[in-house]
Amino acid sequence: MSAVVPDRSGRARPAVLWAVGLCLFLGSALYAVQVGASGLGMGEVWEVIRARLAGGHTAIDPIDTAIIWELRVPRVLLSAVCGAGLAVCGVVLQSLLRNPLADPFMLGISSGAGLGAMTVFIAGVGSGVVSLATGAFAGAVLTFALVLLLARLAGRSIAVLILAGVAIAQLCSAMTSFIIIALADANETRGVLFWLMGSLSPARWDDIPVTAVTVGAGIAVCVAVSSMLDAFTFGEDAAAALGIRVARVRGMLLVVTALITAVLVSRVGAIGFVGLTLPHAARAVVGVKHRVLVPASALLGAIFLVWVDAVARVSFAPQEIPVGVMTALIGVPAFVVILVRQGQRRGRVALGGGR
Amino acid sequence: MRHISRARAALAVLSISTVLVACGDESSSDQAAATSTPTSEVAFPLTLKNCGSTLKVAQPAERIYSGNYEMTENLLALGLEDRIVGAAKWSDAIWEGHRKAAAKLNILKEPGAESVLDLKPDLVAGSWDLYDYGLGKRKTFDDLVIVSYISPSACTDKEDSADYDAAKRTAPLKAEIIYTELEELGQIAGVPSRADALVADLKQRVTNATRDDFSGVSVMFWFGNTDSPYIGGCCGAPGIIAHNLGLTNVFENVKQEWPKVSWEKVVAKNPDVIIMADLGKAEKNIKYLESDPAASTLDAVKHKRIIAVPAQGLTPSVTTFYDLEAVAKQLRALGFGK
Repeated sequence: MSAVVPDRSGRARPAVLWAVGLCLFLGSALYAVQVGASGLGMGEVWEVIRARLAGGHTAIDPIDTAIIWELRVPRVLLSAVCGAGLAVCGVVLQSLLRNPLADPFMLGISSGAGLGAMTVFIAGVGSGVVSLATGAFAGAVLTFALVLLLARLAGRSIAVLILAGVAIAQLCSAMTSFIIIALADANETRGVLFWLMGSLSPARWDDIPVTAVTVGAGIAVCVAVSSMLDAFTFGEDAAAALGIRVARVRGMLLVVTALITAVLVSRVGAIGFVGLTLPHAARAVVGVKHRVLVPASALLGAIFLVWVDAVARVSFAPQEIPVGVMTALIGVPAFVVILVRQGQRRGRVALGGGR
Repeated sequence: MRHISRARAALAVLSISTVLVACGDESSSDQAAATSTPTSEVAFPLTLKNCGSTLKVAQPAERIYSGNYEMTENLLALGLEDRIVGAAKWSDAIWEGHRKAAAKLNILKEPGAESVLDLKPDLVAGSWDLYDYGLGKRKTFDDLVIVSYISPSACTDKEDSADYDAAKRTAPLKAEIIYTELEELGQIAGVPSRADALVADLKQRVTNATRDDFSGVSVMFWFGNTDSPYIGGCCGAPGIIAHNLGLTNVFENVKQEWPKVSWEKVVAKNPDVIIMADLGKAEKNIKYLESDPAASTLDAVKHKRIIAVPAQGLTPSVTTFYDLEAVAKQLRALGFGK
């Protein structure tokens, strides 16, 4: 995320925007590390981070150190990584599918990933990072393929794609619930909630490398092919006319989004509405060029989820609200706004982004 | 609502790559460790095998977090109320003998890891594995020199599973494993003589309660959930109650701790008596039984032979013995036993 991104969209000064965005992100992350169920505040947090990064002795209690360094810091980092990854998935899907309502959650990819991970978990194939993510990836790809097939069979309009996604998501949720009821304990509602709603509370340092590398690589790939994403926005024919090997690029990008979704869902469950709403917010700020839009969405997504999780952690302490509940509370109204706007635009121009 | 928090087990296991291993084979050494120092003085630092871990206890536990109400009852029975810095909320009323001591406890509703660590505990204890508290790996506690204790009954002769209730037991629990647990807790807290006295008292209660002969009386254990009941299988805490009193558990062939079944299945077994977790809704549950088309055909319902006991006794804990006593008393009141 360089501060000298060329601005081809003709919006406000890019360098200033990036500086503001990065400062906002850093400020949000630093603030989020300072809040929590315990009363540890700024002084302790700075002292612990200084001691950890620069070395040296600290007078802070080892348990307080652990609260900050083993619980809060990885959690804030993971929420930033998740927010960034989900927002980028949303941007890519919205462009590829020419559908402003596309995101991993709406299209059932998250639910599919959850089902895959749950199946691997219950089947006892392994509870390691790799096997869970592999199960989640298989689930994500399968459901995604199913949704696209269903939508193709039914006409590929915006509404049909979303309906197909919702139907498949419901199916996956039902199957996840069924597996838990049949093979685990029916009253394990929280277990179901985790897969259906998402939670950042299990975040530990172990989760950071694999998620950060996946999301980072995903963002890099999307920025690298940003001109193709721009072309896709105008439709596959336009993209083909510009010399893009449509099937190949689209397949590659769909796999990238499925992979990001799978890795994130296997760590934190299915967090909804981040991928749906944040790209729209980012477009309003930086315009529609994907070279800027992708990193901007990532940054906004990171800031958003860091804040939402901070609220989820402290508002009902010592209890925690699943972060997916919070994102839904914010995301559903945003979804409605996008939906209504979309309807109005289609009414005026008879073009909604679908076919 | 049977042990909902156990769902956190699945959640937490997913978040980490190392899984707390099964520890069935540790049970013999557990008991050996407990019985090797049966009386008065404990030498610190104390080393103790516990559910696949070796606990190193530097000094008597002074700041205890209890992860569930079964464990809280154990600690209260040892007179440790002043050392409990926090206890997870319970779903049933605390056993009547402990209510006064429990009144001043700091009760936390499903606390997250940060809230628990913020208590600065030196012992984190639970009746099943620690993932239930959303606390993450046991190693976190080791690193912080916090002792993490899990009831031996949760990991002895039991399948390794994230789901306590659905895991099968490979052999029936015996009262001795709870005695061992109380003795170990007594050692960790540096009050072994209290534990010895408590165990002696519990043994006396069992002797008194089993003076009557209840053989031939068939029972079912019902934890809760009206739609499809959670029923007690052969080998958990209900087993300790049934086997000691000579009762016949109609679900004796079921190996899982608390599986869910249909009322049709219960009707087919038609137990003489229903023993259910009180959970503050005994009246409501009895009304349900009387109104449900299937359940109302049960002899136990028709003849009002329903016994409510504190729920925490239906998980292996000190309360199991108080429940055993209560069941014997109420069976006598119903005209059973000679």
